Amino acid sequence: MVPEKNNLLLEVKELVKVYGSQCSYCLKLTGAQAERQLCPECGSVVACNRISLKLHAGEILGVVGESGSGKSTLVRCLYFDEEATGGEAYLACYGEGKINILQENAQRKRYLCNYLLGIVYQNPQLGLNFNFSCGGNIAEKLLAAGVRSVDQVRQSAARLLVKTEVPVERMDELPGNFSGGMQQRVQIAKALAHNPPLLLLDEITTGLDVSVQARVLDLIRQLQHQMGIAMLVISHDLGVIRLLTDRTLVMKNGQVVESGLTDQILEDPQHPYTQLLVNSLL
Amino acid sequence: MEEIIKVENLCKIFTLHVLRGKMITGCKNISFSLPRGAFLGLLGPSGVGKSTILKCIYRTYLPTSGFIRYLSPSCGEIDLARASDYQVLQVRQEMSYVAQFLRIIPRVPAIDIVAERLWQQGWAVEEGRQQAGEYLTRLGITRKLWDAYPVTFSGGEQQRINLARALITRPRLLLLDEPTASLDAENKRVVLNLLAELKSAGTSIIGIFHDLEAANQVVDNILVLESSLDWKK
Repeated sequence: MVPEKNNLLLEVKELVKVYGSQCSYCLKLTGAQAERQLCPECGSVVACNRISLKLHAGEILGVVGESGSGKSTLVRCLYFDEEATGGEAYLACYGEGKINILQENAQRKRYLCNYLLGIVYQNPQLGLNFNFSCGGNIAEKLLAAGVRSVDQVRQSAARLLVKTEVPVERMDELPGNFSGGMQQRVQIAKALAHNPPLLLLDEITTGLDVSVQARVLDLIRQLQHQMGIAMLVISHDLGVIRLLTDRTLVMKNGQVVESGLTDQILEDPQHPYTQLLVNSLL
Repeated sequence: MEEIIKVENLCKIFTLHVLRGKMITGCKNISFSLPRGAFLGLLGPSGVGKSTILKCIYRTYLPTSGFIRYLSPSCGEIDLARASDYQVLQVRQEMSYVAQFLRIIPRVPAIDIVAERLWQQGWAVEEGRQQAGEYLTRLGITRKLWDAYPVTFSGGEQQRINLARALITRPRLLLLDEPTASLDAENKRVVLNLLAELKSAGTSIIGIFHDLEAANQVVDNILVLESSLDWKK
């Protein structure tokens, strides 16, 4: 789907996340150029170093980069799992896109998570409550989003499970009884429960076997076709990025080193790190 | 006559940082223009930069210098060598690019791979499939294969799926990278007929051919690239 002009959904400006005491040299002495994320002055770790990005409605944006380059931290800051140290983020469907969501209070952040954002983690343990049945997990999200009728909750949960190809008759089982691929699909169902305009996907296919991976990817593609949800897809698998995204950002040492059309990034990479990455492809 | 695309002094130089900054010339000082509804054939030995030119136009490659002026009904005249990512995505709606090989999408049947392009343009699911079926039939892919996954297909079948996927949207500009390379005589004829039909319906086409005889049947103009990296008409 081609994003139309002027329908920016998410804009992130200079997002910074530093773990540690943080001194005035942190941002200058770390990054892709310096090839380090540990500040030599104060020993803080700079996970995200002034990251800016734009995401249009209905678009899928890929983020690639080596382990520890700050991809997951970026997503976790946007879902408020971690508090960003600095920077701004604006969501077009919230406060007319004029409110920096990173500075909102806890109550407003909870509203954003319950109504406007969805997240799928690499590890289902993070996204699902393993003490609730899988229907219960989806219900939790629906209740938070203001659905109050039990019938409606169960119907919606069943519909989501059908969509994500999880057997509905196993709705009342605990997620612990499911395989990794099924848990991942329950997690996607949960993330979709409140129809969020923006979905954050963090390495969702890592660790799945290829047939299950293909099913999950197929599902994501269908969801984008049918529902036009915008997604931020984090992966270190270039095949996944090629299949799902139109545009891609490449991250290294907490910074964005290259961005462009996905096929251009993969076939004509400009930055030395991206060239190394593409040349390492099997 | 109005020109749909005008390439001026196009150069593409690859800088390979992994090989300590080694530079490789993809193409150099290429200039040509394509009138609307015309068919231009690119000929020349392997490695002379034919595919590089097509990929620069589709912006899979970022041109190093030069201009690629494209006249688009939605964006007006834009220089594809400098257009923003979003502009390129917008303009790509009007184009189709046929690579030499089909990029397989896992777990998607042949017919859906073809119909997908129409769905992206807002077609209904069943109508898209029906249209895809028509194109596959014309290209000689039997109904038996429609539900199968193209991973298992032969080279010629994959190439025809690839063509069907590109032609089905009736693009304004069609970029073909050796469309008849792995086809037998009969299928080659079918493909050339389809291209001629598309052209008479108004599509402008740039195609790379190795087979001069096939090229001669459909093209209006031929651009021969020589190993010295200059060209003549």
